[in-house]
Amino acid sequence: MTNAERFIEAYDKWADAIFRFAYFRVYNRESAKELMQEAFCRAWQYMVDGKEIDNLRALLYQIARNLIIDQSRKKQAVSLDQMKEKGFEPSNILDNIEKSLDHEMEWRATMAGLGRLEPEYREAVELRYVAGLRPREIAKITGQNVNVVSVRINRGVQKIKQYLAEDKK
Amino acid sequence: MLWNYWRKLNRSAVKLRLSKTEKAFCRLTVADYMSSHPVRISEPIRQLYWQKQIILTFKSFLTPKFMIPVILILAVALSGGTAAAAQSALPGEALYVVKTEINESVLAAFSWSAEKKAEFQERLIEKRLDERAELIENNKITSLLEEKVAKQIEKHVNKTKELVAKLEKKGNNIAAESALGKLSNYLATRQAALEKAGEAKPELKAKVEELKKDIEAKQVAMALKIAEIQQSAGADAVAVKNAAQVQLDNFAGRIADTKSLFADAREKMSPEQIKKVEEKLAATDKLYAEAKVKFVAGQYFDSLKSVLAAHKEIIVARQLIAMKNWEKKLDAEESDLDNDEDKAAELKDKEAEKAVESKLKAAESELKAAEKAAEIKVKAEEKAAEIKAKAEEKLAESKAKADEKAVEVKKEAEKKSKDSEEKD
Repeated sequence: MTNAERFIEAYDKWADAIFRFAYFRVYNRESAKELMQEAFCRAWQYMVDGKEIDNLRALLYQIARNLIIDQSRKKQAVSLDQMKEKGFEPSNILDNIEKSLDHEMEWRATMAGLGRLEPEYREAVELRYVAGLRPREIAKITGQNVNVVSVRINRGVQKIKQYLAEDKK
Repeated sequence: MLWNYWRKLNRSAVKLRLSKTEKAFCRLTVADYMSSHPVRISEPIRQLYWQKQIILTFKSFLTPKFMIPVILILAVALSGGTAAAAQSALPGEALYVVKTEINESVLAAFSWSAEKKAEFQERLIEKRLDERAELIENNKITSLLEEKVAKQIEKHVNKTKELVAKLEKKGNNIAAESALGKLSNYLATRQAALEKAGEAKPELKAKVEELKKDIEAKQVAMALKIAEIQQSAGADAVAVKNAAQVQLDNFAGRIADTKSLFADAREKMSPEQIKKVEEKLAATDKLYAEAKVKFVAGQYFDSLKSVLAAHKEIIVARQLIAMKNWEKKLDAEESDLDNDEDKAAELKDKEAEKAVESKLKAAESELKAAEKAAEIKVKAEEKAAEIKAKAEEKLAESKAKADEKAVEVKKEAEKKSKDSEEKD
């Protein structure tokens, strides 16, 4: 199998996952799609430049993450409050999701816990449980130590547990 | 509760996906990008998924990959001066085996990649030739030793071929071609030298021809691989154009590189060789110019073909330039022999003498061995007879004892039956 074939195979496998990863950060279907596409093109460019790829999946997440960070830096002028004024509600992301997602309440409930986490914990927990990556892969993507990642996942989970208990009360 | 939470989260998240049309459209965009940015060096993607990486822990040092060199190093270190002394040993000397089988194995263990290993084998071929030259210099060469050296070289040649096959399997066609090229250079110059000396070996010639064919096949395979990559990335006019552009760009550098190599080596080359290289370089320039013209005219595929033809020419030119080292070495060897014919004659006499001596010695040792064998046979027969006699004696004894016991047992049984009868 040639590299091009393997790459296209990788696209078929992970396009949705990378799209999802981007979507949970930009909350916009079109932007998430563009980010996913850009991540794949950049990963290919990586090979064109003659660099070696150890783990393509991790590289794709890493590129997508960097693209999202770049994008958010460019849009720093627009604060969250301003966005809210314009009617944006972070937890109200269901509008953008395909209609196949029918249990609105369930979704809101599950997202609520994640949404309350601090960004670094949220990222670690999402990559672990939504994207299904291993701590080592997450460490590669975020450029942190594996131990730090493991601690973040653990603490994130504990916090969600706490939120859920509080909600129940 | 938490488990439920994760299940819900995962179930909900999975539902968030691209529609089929969206996915297909993005796929097209990515494929388009790929075909307009072809990968020049086909370094394979190591793994699509995460796999255990090599992390150097204490445990990982216990694997054969690490332990073999460690054991070899220890063996050399513990043998101390032996290994060092062996380094200068020549064929026929006692320590030569230590040098080729232990010292060189240790050094070979330090070449991790197949490419480096192939290079190392080529260096060893050179070394064997140096040793042969030294033997000639010291008047120590015999037909037996010559054969030994030839066998060693054959071993290195075979090993290099194995490594080339490995490189090819890995997709590193460039390295495979270069290693094969070096090998064929060496064999070709060796053959030329032998022809000059009037002792051409047909099998060597056949080998050179075989290697040349192999190299050509490899070049064709390389061209095919490029075409294959184009196809897999959606072969169209744009892809071929890009491939041709890349080849043209790369080739300009290769021409410049070869020309500078030629300028450096020119002084040491024979006029005949210089002429040949110049011819090849002119042919390369011509083909390259043709490729450029075809590219401008929009005949991208033909342009690509011309570049590949130029590539073939330049490979030959580079081989000719590289040849000078081998030829110099062989010339030196030959001049040693040519300049001193008496020495050669003497050498032959000595060889003959030595051959007779060795034959005599062999006959003597055969005789001795036969004598010893006869002695051993006689002794063995004597011992066998002794053992047989002893065994027979023992057998008779044990038989007598058994008979006695049987009689006793019978008597007792009779007594007992009588007693019981009486009681009744």
